[in-house]
Amino acid sequence: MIHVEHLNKAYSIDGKQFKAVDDVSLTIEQGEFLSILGHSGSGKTTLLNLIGGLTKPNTGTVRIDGQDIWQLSDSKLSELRNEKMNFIFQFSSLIPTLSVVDNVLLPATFGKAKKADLYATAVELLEMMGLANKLRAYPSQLSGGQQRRVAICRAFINEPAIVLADEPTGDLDEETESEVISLFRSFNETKKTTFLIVTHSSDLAAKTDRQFRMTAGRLELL
Amino acid sequence: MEWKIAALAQKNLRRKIFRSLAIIAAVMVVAATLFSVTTIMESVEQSLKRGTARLGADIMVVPSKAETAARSALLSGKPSAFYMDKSLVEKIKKIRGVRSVTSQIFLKTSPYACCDVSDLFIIGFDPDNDFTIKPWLTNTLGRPLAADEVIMGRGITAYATGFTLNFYNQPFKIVGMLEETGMEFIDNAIFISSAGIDRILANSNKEGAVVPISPDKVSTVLVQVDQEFSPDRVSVFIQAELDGVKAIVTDRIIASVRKQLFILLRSVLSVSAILWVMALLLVGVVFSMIVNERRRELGIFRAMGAKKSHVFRLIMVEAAILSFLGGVIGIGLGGGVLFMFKDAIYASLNIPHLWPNTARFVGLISFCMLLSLLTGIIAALGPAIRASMLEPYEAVRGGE
Repeated sequence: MIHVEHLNKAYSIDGKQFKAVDDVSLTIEQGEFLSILGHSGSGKTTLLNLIGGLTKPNTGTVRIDGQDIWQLSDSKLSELRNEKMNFIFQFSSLIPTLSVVDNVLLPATFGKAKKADLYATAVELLEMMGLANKLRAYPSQLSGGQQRRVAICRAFINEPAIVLADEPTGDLDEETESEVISLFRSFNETKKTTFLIVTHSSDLAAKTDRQFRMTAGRLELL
Repeated sequence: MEWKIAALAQKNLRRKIFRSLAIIAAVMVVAATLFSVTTIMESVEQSLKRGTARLGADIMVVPSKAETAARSALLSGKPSAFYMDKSLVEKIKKIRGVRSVTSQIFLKTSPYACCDVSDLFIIGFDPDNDFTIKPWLTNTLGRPLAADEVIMGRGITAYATGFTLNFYNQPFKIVGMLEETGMEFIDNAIFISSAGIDRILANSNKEGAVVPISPDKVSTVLVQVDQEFSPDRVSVFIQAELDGVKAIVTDRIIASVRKQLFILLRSVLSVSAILWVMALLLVGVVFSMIVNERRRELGIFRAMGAKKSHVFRLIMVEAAILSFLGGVIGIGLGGGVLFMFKDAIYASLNIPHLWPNTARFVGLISFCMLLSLLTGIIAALGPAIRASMLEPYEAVRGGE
């Protein structure tokens, strides 16, 4: 379970304080499939990264399974990210010097899991995404859509309890987008994976069970 | 975990081949110059140490006018003949701090028909009290040197043990060769016992063989000092009590050659130091660029569960791999060039030298490898710390 309480995050731009996240509270149960809808600059990506422990809030708490993640040491927080959650970023997040399969296996590099044990899972995920013939290719040899699909495969390699997805279907055509959402649903139903999807697409948001809207850092339930 | 980080580092380096080669080249140049210079210095040092140990003397007493010639003979093996009165041997023996003395007489073979080989350096030693050749004779020949026998230095390669050579119309059989010392004074000399010198003197002026020495002369008196006295102190006593002699402390020769060598190689050492600083700066700048360029990548690593220590180690392992390769190639290159041109190099320096033994070589290689590794590690330390301290989200946004 994710429990967010009075979360605030402000940036200073040209000497002026800009509130990216403004007193946000939110509870997400294990296995939920929800989305946050908002325009660019509304603070939804910042909220996602606060929940993922990638940036520290000014005030407020983020609890995952009852543990305040900002009370953890860097080492423990990194282990939490490695074992319990995974990210899909809105930009191309593949490592250019690694092959497709090595990119998918990246979380295993920093965790206790052995790469060899996860290799079959990586190949299976890539096959599901239609990338079976691209295992040894490098990101520069893939289209934007293919790169996005590889990043999605990577998000599932460690069977995370929580997937934090920022515009996960941004580069994909309608057909692939539909396949990706089906895959998300499949993981959500079979493995009880929690999905928090940030998007500006109301069509994509409509496919989730619960929708929030973010406007100028404030969150409201739709 | 370590091999996973190393594998990740290695994959990154392989894909950024030109940048990797630039860093390897910078470290390689440093390693090559450092290895060749330290090897030269080591070979000279080792040669002097072994040569003076073979000499066995703490002090070498020569005629004061012949000091330069004596140093030259000792260091370059240039045949030199200088003489002083033999009575000095007994006088020196009585000086405070002197434990034992032995005398040697130097003789250059004549270019005329009396001698099979001209311009060879003959050293006549006194087997009764010698400490230069006698220890070797005891250990290897197992008996005293006969009047018609000689021992050769290792540098005389034209003849072998068993050969007979004529000096001043007297046949001498080569019965052994000394180990190489790198000091030409010993390596290029022929050692004859005082009985052998007497044979030559007895036949002087016969059949045209004019020997330029007499029985009452010696060229040098070699001195061993008592333990409670320093060689420097005893040399002062000798010079204070005896006129017309110079007491050369053999350890001082090592120090002076070391200084001479340092002066000769100072420019090379300066260039090495400058190259090292430049390599440090270059590798540091390149790794700073790498960290800036890879901010998003490092942020993604953090998002995927990399700890600060993983990021730090990743950068440090990349630096270590590149500097290790630079070190290996540099040492190979420096060693190769030195090996190919060693004769020309040592001839131009005109100082004693002896290729270091395996243990010393391993020591030099280890030292140069350590310095190469330190070059990369020190240079990458700052960027690696900076990379590890990046906030993951800030790093992820780094490419925006």
